[in-house]
Amino acid sequence: MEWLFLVPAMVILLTLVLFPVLSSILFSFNRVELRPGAVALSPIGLDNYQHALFEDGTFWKAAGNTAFFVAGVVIFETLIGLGLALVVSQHARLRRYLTSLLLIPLVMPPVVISLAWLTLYDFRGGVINWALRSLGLSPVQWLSAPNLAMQSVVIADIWHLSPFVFLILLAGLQALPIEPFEAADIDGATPWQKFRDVTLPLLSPVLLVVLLLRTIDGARVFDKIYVMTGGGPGTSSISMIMHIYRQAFRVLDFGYASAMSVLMLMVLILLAVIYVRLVLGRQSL
Amino acid sequence: MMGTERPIAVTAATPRPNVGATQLQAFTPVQGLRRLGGKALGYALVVVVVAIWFFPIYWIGNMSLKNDLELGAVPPTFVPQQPSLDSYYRLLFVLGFDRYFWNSVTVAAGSTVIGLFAGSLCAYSLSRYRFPWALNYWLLFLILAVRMFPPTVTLIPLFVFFRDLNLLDTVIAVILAQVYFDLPFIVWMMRGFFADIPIDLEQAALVDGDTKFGAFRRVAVPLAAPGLLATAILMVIYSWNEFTFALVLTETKATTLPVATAGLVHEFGIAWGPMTASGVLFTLPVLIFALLVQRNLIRGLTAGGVKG
Repeated sequence: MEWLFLVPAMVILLTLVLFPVLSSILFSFNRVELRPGAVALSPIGLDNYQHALFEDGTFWKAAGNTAFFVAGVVIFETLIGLGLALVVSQHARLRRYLTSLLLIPLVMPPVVISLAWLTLYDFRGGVINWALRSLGLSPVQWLSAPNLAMQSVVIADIWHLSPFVFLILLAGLQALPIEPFEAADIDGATPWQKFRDVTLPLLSPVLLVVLLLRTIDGARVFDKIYVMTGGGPGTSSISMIMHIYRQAFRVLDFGYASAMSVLMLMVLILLAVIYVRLVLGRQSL
Repeated sequence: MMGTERPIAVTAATPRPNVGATQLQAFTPVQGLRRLGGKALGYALVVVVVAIWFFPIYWIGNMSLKNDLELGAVPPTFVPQQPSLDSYYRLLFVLGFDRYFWNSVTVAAGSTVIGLFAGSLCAYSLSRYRFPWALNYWLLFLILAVRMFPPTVTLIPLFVFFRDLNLLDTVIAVILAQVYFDLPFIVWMMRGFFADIPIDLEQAALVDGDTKFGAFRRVAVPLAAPGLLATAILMVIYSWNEFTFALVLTETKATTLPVATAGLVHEFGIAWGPMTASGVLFTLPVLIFALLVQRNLIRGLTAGGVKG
């Protein structure tokens, strides 16, 4: 009887997740052609994988960009989120107001956030270049200079998701036991010593989970890139998902796009397994 | 296990046991100065944080109220000089965004209802029954891991199959894709809310001759109603905001707001006015929902982060 409770979720997982994932793996070993009303598969062995790893320069460009994006957002979002959480956890009133304010970017549509930054970055009429000009500096091509486009997207993402890291770390800080801090006070520890030797070790499980979550989410960045740069100029800000999206839905090479998806899945599954074990390991089932 | 709220309440509400020690420190002049400096630093921080996170939001609103002439002005004006609703008018009556709005509403409602039905049944049984072969653990494992997959790994086959089934560019396709995306969050959140409910009441219902499903429907669901509402609202927000699946699975008829709004960037160069107006109209419902259930929402947003 209790098995029946699982049926709807199982049906969804099987039809909308397991079946598509297996199909992706199948597609990746084939040339996939969309004919009217049907799909035609012709097996080509490992050609798609070989093309990705050894022939397609854009694949490695996208992989590098994605790694750059992940490194940038994870480092800065963690620093900003942790710093804010540490300060705010000491002040009850601050906590209430800043938590409400910083909730807003998290629930805003990412597309709208990208648009907001698009207006701020605008070369001619954007506020950022206006500020630079008023300071006597020369304006910057934030989104159309090949060496800057990716950084600009990283900044927008930091604005969007530092609050996420902040909220999780704040909740983590609040849940810490108070006794170790009292002991450190009695021993006359300086604030820095308290942070380094008490807060950081106690907070490290939560910190690790946040780092993993942001790494996995960052690796899948798509909407911000799509709206703000379209992957350009050229391929200078193309991300892995952006490249796969283009190969699938612009070039219509579904086999090749599936092969890249599967490669990416293999990397992400490693991280996901570490993450899930961390989160589930601490609970009694 | 979803008890992260409780320790917060305890530390915030009860006085620290070592009040004496804290006060003693506060009386020394160095500590006093440091506290004052700390306070000033705190206020400075608030000002900076508020400015940085408020400004881009303000700016969309500001741009949406300008007329075309003012939108192109260099330097940009910080307050609309001649406020006009022209962009909103164009958005709704010329570009036909009301259609996309209703598509988004349909997708959000449909996916939330289906997702909540499947997800809360699954979460309930995982928190109440022990299945063989450690299925509780592995199912939860799978559900959480699925959330981490690259979207294209499911999206490409779904596109192909929906095409074969003639479902491309229908809200049904977007709803189904959204359900898969929502399910992990729902199971994870609802499992915690069900675990918070004492099991005795359901047992009483079972003793009185109710079926297991009856106990779920008549006892557990009403008791978990606040959690159910918070989960529902979070899912509405997620599906309202979702971009990637809707972009791929729709073309013109079933286009949702995020896709239509993003389309304004490429179709006309950049149509700043309608684009920012759409940004405002598109964000408002989400903000209202978010402020309604703020507390439980934070619990949901941080789900999977600090549960232990």
